[in-house]
Amino acid sequence: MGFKDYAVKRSVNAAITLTATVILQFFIFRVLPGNPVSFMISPNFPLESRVALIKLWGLDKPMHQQFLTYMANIFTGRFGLSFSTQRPVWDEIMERLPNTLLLTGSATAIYIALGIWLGVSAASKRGSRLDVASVGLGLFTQAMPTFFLGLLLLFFFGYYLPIATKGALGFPIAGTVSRPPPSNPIGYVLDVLWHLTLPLTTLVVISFGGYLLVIRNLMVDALAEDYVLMAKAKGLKEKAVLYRHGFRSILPPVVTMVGLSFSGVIGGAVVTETIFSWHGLGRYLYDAIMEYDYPVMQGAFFLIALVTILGTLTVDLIYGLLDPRIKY
Amino acid sequence: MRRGLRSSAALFTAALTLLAVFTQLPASVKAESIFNGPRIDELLFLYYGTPDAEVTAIQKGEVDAVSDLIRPMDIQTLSSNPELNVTYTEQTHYCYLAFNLRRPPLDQKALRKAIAHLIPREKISSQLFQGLVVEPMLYEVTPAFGKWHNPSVETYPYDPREAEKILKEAEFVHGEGGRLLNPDGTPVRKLAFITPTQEEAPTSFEISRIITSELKALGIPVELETVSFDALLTRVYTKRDFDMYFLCVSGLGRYPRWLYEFYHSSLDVPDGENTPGVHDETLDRLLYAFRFEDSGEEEALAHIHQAQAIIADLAARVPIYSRFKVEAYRKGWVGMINHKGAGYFDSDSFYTWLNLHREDKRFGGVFRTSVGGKVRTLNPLYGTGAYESKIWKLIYDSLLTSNPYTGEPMPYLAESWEVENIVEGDVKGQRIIYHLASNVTWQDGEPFTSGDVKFTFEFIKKHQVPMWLPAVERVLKVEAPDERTVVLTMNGTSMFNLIDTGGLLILPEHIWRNVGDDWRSFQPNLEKHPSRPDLTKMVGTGPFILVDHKPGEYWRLKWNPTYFKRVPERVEAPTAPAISGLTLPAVLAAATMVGGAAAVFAWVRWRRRVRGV
Repeated sequence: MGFKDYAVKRSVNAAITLTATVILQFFIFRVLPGNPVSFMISPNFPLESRVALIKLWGLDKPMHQQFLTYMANIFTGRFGLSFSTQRPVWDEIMERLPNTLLLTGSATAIYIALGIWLGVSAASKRGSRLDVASVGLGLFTQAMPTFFLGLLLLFFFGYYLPIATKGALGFPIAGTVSRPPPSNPIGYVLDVLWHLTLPLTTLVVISFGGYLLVIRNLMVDALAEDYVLMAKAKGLKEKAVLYRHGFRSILPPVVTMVGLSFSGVIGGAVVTETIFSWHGLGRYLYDAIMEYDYPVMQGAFFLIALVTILGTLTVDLIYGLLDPRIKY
Repeated sequence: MRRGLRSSAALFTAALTLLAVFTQLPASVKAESIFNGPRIDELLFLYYGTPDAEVTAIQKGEVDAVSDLIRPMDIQTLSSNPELNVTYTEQTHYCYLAFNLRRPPLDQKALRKAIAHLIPREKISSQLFQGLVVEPMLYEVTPAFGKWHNPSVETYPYDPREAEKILKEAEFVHGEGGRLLNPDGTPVRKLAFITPTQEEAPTSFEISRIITSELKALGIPVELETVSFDALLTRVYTKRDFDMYFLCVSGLGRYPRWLYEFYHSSLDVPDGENTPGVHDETLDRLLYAFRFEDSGEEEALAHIHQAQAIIADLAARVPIYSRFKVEAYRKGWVGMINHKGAGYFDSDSFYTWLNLHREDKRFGGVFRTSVGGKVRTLNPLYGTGAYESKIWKLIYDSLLTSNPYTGEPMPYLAESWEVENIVEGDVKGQRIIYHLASNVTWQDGEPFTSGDVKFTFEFIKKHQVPMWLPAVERVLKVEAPDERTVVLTMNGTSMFNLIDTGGLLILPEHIWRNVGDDWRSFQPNLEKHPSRPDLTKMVGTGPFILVDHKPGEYWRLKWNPTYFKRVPERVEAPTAPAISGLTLPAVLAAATMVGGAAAVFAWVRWRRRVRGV
């Protein structure tokens, strides 16, 4: 089978998976126990208001009609109107997506780079103090609950530091920008970076350990291979041995990990976004699940599924480029 | 005689003291009316995602007030801060234990009453809330409802002996191993007490566990069944599949109208609020009369007090506690008004926002407060949650308002009104005539007229807007005979006709008439005003104007200089101090980040060069 046939086969598989996900998620949300009306209406409201609300949301229609509306909404890309706000789900997603991409995207890039660098460094000096410290740090940070670290950073850098320095130093405790934000563009960018610092640090610290440990272990195995010994014997520089011979051989599993991280970038980071009041997709999706906001859940999960499937497909397709031994 | 003299002396002294205090006040303060305002320049509502962030924000000085504190440790922390005041207000909220009356053995009133006596309210309050946040409660209609609360109903204080006595009188006996037996000698079956999981709702779980152990101690077989909160709601509201459950309700309004929803037999339908399945003809009659027929307050009071007595005797729901509204604000701010049943900074605390000002300044200043939770939408027809209402209730007005101290209706956009009972054919109804205030304009300068009121009623009725249906469902006809008069013809003679229609927010016809069927997705705060570039389509007649906002972050409101109840002497132009987010800490932090990254990069490069790697 050539690359073209392989690509077509994988693409068809991805399309089937996406279709199945789209169909399944409609029914899964509706069989869950719970009633969206109870989150919108207080006991003071008469039954007529509940009935009117159900009608407004289209939940009074037969299931097949609801399904057709849902499919139409998915294919038009608008995803319907949120039960909670009555705004188009697409508009709400787009309002939050830049914040989420900024936070989780930059965090993902940093923790992957940090994890790779520390993992390779630790493996190259196996048994050294650097190796022991890196592995210990990786295990420690990976085991640390996100909310704990987030709150710790919030209290220390957001509350105690400004008090100790009489306001000269410190970081904001909430939001993506100051409230209200600076009017000049440079000030605005700096202000966003300032607000980004604590949530970004939380995500990086919590996440880099996983990459560090996996890469360190893969590298330890790779560095024991004959071709690495050969490279060393040829007198290549350490950096070249590590990255061009050792690290290159472990790229397929690393790329798989990176590919699967894409869904996390879109899905947001619920806990971190909540602690730092970050107006992002993670918190949005969490609230939607709590309130049975079907259109939001459907729209957001569709996007996550789409990004995950596309990420996996991309990884599958570039395997061959990374490892010449792979034949299609 | 001596006591009379002593009382007179005390009254005289008090009067003298008040006079002395009053004469020392500045003339401006003496003349101040709480019904005029606003006195601050700007109001900034800020969103915080967690109580931790909210508490940190007020401690740090980022906000001047936080509302709805529920964690005892937060209350303790803020109470110990000398810069803050912490307030407690009784509110219209309560938590209860409910029984399913549809199936034995809880169809027997005696068993329900016995269980009601086994709830250790004081223990729950002290152990789980450190005695701070909640008030043990014996009444379903709490004293926060004022005269609508009937203090003379049967109550069920914690008393295991009384519980045992009730069971004995009803011929329940204890069998082998202390297990309770029905009057016919058969064992009482195991009761299913459904509760949310410990992870999901730790307090509810713990309360259910405490009650379960009390029941077991008296030989009542009960099993605590933990389910997800959503599953609990489905089993209670839709399937009615339970014996007992514990839940709380809030946002009950100023009148005990929810009793109709909770206990009228017509509401024992799937998703109806009559979850215990109460069917009592006398109670139905009383609740219906209170809700839809009573035109006089005396009549309504008599009916609802009788209804409360029947409800208490039925013991279908047993009140356990009511939560205080706990709020904190920074010292130096004055003018807050404690609104009956709502507190100081609630969405219903309208007069606080009119009167709030710095101790040392009569006007001006920016007040920052946490909005309290997620603001869903600022479309006032759809977003009627507690948090978004905080914002739009300061922009849009209604025909009537309520007295903050008594809750009674007061003139507002309507400066007076007349109510008369009428009979049209077979229909008994009411005619309500509102006489509108003459000096009201919309925030964009357009005049406010009876046409706006007529439009609002007809728009909401035509589009069956769920959140506002209760206000318009009994309106048969709306007429606007002249610019200042609105005549409503109502179905039914209820006293709530005036309260409901008077509480409806009034929309500007010139903005909303083109909205039509898109009313639900219309976002007035996100659309530019057609003729005023400084405004959005969110224009009302209220004391504040929305000038700036960022969804999920902040909402900035400025005082409305054309407000019809403006303090007459306030003539200065609104001063909006520039608030820059880019402060010294921001610059330092950014510089530290950039500098740190550069240093690390330089060090790595140097190290590699030295090692020759």
